[in-house]
Amino acid sequence: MLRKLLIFLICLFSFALNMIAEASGTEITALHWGVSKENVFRVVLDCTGPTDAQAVLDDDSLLVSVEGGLKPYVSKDYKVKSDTVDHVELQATGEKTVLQLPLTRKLASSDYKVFILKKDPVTKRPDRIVIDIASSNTNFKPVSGTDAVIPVKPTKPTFEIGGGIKGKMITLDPGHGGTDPGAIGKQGTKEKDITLKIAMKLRDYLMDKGARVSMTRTNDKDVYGPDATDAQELQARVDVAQTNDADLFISLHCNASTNPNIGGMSSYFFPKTDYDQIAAASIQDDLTKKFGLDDLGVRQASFYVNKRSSMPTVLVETAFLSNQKEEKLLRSNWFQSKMAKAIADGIEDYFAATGGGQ
Amino acid sequence: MKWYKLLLAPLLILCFLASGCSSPKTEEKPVTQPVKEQSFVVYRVTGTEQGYLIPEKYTIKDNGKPIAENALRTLVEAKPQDSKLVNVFPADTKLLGLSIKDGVAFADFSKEIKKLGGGSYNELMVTGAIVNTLTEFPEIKKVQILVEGKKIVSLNGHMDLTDPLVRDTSLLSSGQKTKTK
Repeated sequence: MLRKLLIFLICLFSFALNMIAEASGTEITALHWGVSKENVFRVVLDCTGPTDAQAVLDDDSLLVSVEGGLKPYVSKDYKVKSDTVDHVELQATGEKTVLQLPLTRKLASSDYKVFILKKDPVTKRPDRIVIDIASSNTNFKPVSGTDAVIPVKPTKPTFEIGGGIKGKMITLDPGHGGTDPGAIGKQGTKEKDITLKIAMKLRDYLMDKGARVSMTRTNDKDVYGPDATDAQELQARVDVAQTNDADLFISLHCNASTNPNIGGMSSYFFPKTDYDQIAAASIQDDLTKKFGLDDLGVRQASFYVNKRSSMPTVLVETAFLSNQKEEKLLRSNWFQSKMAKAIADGIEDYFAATGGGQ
Repeated sequence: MKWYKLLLAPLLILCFLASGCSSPKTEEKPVTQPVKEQSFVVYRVTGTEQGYLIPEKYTIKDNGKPIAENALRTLVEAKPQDSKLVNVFPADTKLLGLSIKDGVAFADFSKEIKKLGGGSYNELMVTGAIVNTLTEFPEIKKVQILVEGKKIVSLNGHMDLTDPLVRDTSLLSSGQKTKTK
């Protein structure tokens, strides 16, 4: 009895301590942006805990000062698409972080709002700071009551499913590039070169089928910039899919293992929408139908590009550069074409199968 | 009953100091039977079979350190006993520390772990080996991978490690359910 009471009290005490520790030292963990149907441009800052923010409207920019630091992996620059702002910047100054929104047109104080959304355990959303800017041709509808009235799901651009591949926007991401060669095979084959070759062929196949295609890169370069951090580089690729409002995002990779005996193809998804797994299964299905390589299956993984994008995303691991036989295949033009064709067919099947609207 | 209450305050303080802020759950169970040996399982990558993590059982002398820390250190720093299994951590990777708080294990590695090359397979296997080894212990539900005390985004440019990872049974040989056929 006494023991239980004691344990309970210790629990309570350490819990209280944790709360105090977490209340101070709030940090920004991510920035999202989007434009709503009503043409409201919104920026959301995810935070590790409760915080506060203040906005100042200059002549040519809106400055939002947030109480809290910036996680080092958060990108500082974002290209955005709206009629008022074309890029946003984060500046960390120790305990405060300033969000700069340079304006392309004059704003009145009634054209923007800054408010706080509390952590929502149900939807697993963190504490957030939200900045809304009305577009030039729509004004805010007056919002009555508290901030909580404002809808909480703003930043997800919509993606289309079903209805065939024609007109769909597909973003292709040839993995690695520039200063990052990716995996390297025994014969010196670089992953970044193979993924680019397959992606360029895949682009042609998709366009032949009537899809629109955007690419994170079309030559041998870093998407964010040379020697960027993993977060900057991966986020830059996600940003391409986001700004293009892609309906489907495909990241192409070649695998490698310390074990040279391992080979095969796999398609990875993260179940953030109902369609990620369907898209991965559709591509993997065509891959296994057309190749005699080992089927490593449709697999779930916490890959950055899968997790951080808002549209269905598949990371395709084409084959293993660490496997002598597969390296040879990956180097050959016919294999690259066949691979691109199989992925294109899988994508076509996905858009043909997923009907019925969201 | 009254003398109990008198005892309670100093006891409480003592217990709290002794617990050093770590999870009270783990404080409760260890001393039930003084053991001289520790047995645990670590998950290794195999050199022959396809793509799965294989459990390898270890029994070591009790060195007074928490068993989860010993298991993880063995996974990272020791050579496998079975010659068919491989240690896939980059050379000289060290475990700097392991702490557990609210069911989340914070596993802190030396910077060598970032030298992991290869593809996403390597990254999945290394993180999968860490997480599956640690979540064998009931007090660990999730694992946050740290390098030199700091959160990292990825080991070789594929994964998102900013949030703690949960056990991934699809990497174990019984987890064939994730295969397409």
